[in-house]
Amino acid sequence: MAEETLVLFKNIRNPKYDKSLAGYKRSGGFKSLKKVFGMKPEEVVQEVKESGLRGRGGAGFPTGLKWSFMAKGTGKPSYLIANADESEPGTCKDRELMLKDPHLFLEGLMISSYAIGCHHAYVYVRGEFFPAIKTLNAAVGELYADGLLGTNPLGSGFKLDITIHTGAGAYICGEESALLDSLEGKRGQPRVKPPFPAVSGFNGCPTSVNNVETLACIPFILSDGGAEAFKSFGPQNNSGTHLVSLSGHVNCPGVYELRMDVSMKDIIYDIGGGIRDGKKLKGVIPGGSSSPVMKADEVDVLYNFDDLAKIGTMLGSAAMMVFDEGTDIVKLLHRITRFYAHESCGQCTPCREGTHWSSQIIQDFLRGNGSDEKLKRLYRVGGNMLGTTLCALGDAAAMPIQSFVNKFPEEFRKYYATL
Amino acid sequence: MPFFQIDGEPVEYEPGEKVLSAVLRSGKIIPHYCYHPGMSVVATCRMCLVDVIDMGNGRPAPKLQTACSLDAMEGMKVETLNQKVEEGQKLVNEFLLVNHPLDCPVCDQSGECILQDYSFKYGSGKSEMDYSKRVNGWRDIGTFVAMERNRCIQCSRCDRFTREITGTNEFGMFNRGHELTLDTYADRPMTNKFQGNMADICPVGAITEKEFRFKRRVWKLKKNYSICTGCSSGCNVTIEHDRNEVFRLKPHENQNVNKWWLCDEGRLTYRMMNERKTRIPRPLGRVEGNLEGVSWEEAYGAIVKRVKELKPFPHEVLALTDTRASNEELFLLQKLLKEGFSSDNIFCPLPKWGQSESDFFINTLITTDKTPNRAGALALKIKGDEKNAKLKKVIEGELKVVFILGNPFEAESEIKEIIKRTQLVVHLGVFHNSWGEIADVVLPGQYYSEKEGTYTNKHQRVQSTEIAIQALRRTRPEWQILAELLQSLGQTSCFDSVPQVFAAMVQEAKAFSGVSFDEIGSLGIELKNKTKDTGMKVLVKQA
Amino acid sequence: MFSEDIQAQVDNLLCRYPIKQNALIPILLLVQKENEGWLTEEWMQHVADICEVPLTHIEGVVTFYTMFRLKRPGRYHLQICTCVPCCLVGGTELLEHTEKKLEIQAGHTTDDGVFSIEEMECIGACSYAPAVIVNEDYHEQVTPEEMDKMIKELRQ
Repeated sequence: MAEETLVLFKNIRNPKYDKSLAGYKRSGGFKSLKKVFGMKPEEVVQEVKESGLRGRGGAGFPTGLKWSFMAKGTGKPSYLIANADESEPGTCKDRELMLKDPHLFLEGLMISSYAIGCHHAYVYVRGEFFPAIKTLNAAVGELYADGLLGTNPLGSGFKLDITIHTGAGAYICGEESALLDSLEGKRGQPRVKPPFPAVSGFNGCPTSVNNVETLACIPFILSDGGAEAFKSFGPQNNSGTHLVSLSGHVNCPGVYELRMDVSMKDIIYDIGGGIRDGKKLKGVIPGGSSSPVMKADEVDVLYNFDDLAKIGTMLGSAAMMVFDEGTDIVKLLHRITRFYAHESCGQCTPCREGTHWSSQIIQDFLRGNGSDEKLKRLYRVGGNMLGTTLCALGDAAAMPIQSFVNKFPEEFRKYYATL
Repeated sequence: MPFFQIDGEPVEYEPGEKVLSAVLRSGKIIPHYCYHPGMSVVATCRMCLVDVIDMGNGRPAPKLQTACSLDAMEGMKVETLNQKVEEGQKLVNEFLLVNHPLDCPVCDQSGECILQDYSFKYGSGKSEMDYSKRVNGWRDIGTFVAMERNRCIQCSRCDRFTREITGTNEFGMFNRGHELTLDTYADRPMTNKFQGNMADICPVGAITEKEFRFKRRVWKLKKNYSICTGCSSGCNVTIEHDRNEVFRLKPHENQNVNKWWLCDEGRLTYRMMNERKTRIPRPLGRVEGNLEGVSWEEAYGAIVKRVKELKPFPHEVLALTDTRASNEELFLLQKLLKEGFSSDNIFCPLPKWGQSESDFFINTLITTDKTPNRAGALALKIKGDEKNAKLKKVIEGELKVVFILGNPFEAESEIKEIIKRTQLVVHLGVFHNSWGEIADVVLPGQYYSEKEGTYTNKHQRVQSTEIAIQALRRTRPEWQILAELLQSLGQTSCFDSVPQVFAAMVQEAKAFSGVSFDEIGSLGIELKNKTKDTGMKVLVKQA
Repeated sequence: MFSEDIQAQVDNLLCRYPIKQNALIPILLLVQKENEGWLTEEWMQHVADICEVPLTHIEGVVTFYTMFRLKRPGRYHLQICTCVPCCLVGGTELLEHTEKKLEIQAGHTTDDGVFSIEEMECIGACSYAPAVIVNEDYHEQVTPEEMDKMIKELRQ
């Protein structure tokens, strides 16, 4: 029987937990921060490296390594930006952390700022998250009032400000360089890389952009023996627990904290309580809408970065969207494709034209105008966005198209074979 | 310089340079739309995809890279012709044509459209897109250009132009995704003085010059290098013409002068090249008070005869010129006075002039001196001062012979009144003007586009013009007229060509020493002995 | 142009960033909220002056982000998510139901100006789908019946 492992959700799962600063402190909060202030920043980065923490935003890049790329000695300030622009369809884990235990995340942000020498951290929250923005602002207010933010928290001599920044509705701003443009007050269009943000990020200064959940892991990793314990939670290279956003046709959708050695099957049938209305599973989109779809017979696999990569899909942001036998695959893909067409920033050619065109082709199927030729065309147009765009949105739009056509060709044919 | 390999051939690069920039400098081609050497790299059109088979560390890049944003590395091996690249180019081009109207038959850009060229060379020849295309429509967006937004391929060069080059920010990107438009917002017209450049940098026919709209297919145009004579900046241009009619001026890249740009005012100077009504079509001589057509021989003969009758002393001879004349013309006029009359009474107007100080280079291209060769006049030490004080002193004395080149002191009626009383007034000019009215002999010259010549710009760079169109049959270039006058007056020096005049000038005028005509080439050459005070004052810095 | 309270908030925002332009989006959101949920050219020009950016820049920004509106929304702006997880469990039907109920299409406002509907892409409440945001409040696992009830209550 699969069950949750509580690290990030330790407080949230406690029904008596009070998310105020006092409550967080009572539950052992800010011990790690205190400890960290006695360490050298390099030591903190080293601990994070040793914990094996990989970014939880979607790409799974090792966090400690990312921090070690930060340009030093540039004479410019360094910035840490928390990426709270959670918008990948299916993903709702960061919102949970920000709403229900803001101080855990903020402590992580503070420790991480110390580690990379950042004196003003920004939290880029998507604008639609009104309640989370309120909660975070209140929490930051508490920290200032308590002296934990500002000059010299805990007598450390370190100076740190945190600002909650609101986005205004654009999925692409979850891409780190688009996020930086947006934070600078521009249209959120991804930048040309290199230079990478670690060299030239926010206002041209060295910047690290880290996901909220990634940062929320930091206080545990920096607690006594934390890095070792974190590493011990999962298979090699897939350290720690992660938050799984489970949605779709399961009996118990929700956000669950799991180790990375739990199989998808268990997540769907144990944690999620099985498929609604006693129906059969048809497939799963395993890691946010951009990840290649899986069929029902593929779900007996460990839910982590490497095991999913092995079978040709990805963990992404750990957002599992489960759908049952009654689901219309073509409609589902149309909805996904429409999403990417709506969210493409439009600056680069394959994505601007490809997302819209492929959405038009799928609509043709829905209107009964499908054909073998169009199915081939759909596959080709989708594939042409793969690896040819400036940022990963082209790939994100291409992967579902190709995987849906590959895995459910008969569903498309159903739309025109009877004619 | 370090180098990398492109299709097996070495290409040198400057440290920090991008692959595309180095390749283009070497003269090779990688197709591209959004990249422009004068503006920031956005890497959004995705046309310049290349295959990096060795990143300089022995490993290949995992996928195709855009050459415009790819850092050149020592030992890097790049392929631009293999199948992978061809497929990449083909797919990008297909996407670009998905919403392009393909209205080439009615598009002014047709024939010089990069999308057209690349589609032909790298595209697939057919499209599988069978839905209706995006429609955005035509817009009048400024004084000089119009926009057919359907043709736009969203390369954002125009957006970057008003942000990075003019700083006027009139253009922007609006909406997003499939609906992304580049435009002025809500029909607001542009006001910058450099809109024509946006038509130049637009790789397709989305932004076109209103002035050129539907006038001529571009493949019919013949092109000649020249200099814009609209002000003292001396921007390099090509004069584009067909059947002896000039249709437009386009900037010609010269990093030392105008970079890639040309102002709209300069572009419009092409109109004068087609002007016929006010042209002086043939030599004129005053017969019983009226100007009547005469032959060149009659005109020269009359002048020589009159000079011999008058026998003027050096101080009784005067030449006035404007600073629109070429170096050679100024030099020969000076020579005519010196050798024909032992006089150095040659004057030109030299008012103060200025240009704006600006953070944006392009603003410095427009100066208040609307003549192309003031610096040449200064270099030849032609006399003059801000208030024409010296000239006024000279004309207080008795004058017998006056030569007028062009249209100098056009607003100085006082000077004209005095000169009117002179016994022999010879006017050399292209257009009828008030000097012609008081002249005894009028000798018709030729316009810039019709003759060779060199001009010295505000930075004292000597640049040359080519003959672009044929002049009126009975006109002659002023340098030739002056040379013929010299001969008629019995001087032995004989000049048959502009380079010959230039060579004499190098010998005789100190400012031009050490410069040769051949060195001017297409980029010009700076004078070695520069005039220190060119009368420039910096105008107020533009916001 | 701003009330004292808003001016104070704007000033506070401006001092949280290294350069004024950085505060552009939060300030625009603040202004929009004050101006009954939409932006006018007059306001955009004012913000352009404050943030020291050209008006064109603001227009580019405003048309890029979905939360900025250039026409007045209803007093209650119903933002119904129909993105993947929501559409799996009835988001699309909820939108259609609401459109029928209010007799307007998404993107429009009722004649009395009380309600407007917007079809949303993922609003990040996927495990609690289908989700709706009314002005600034999240409503989760919303059924058509609950929507009817909500509309009725809001109308009063």
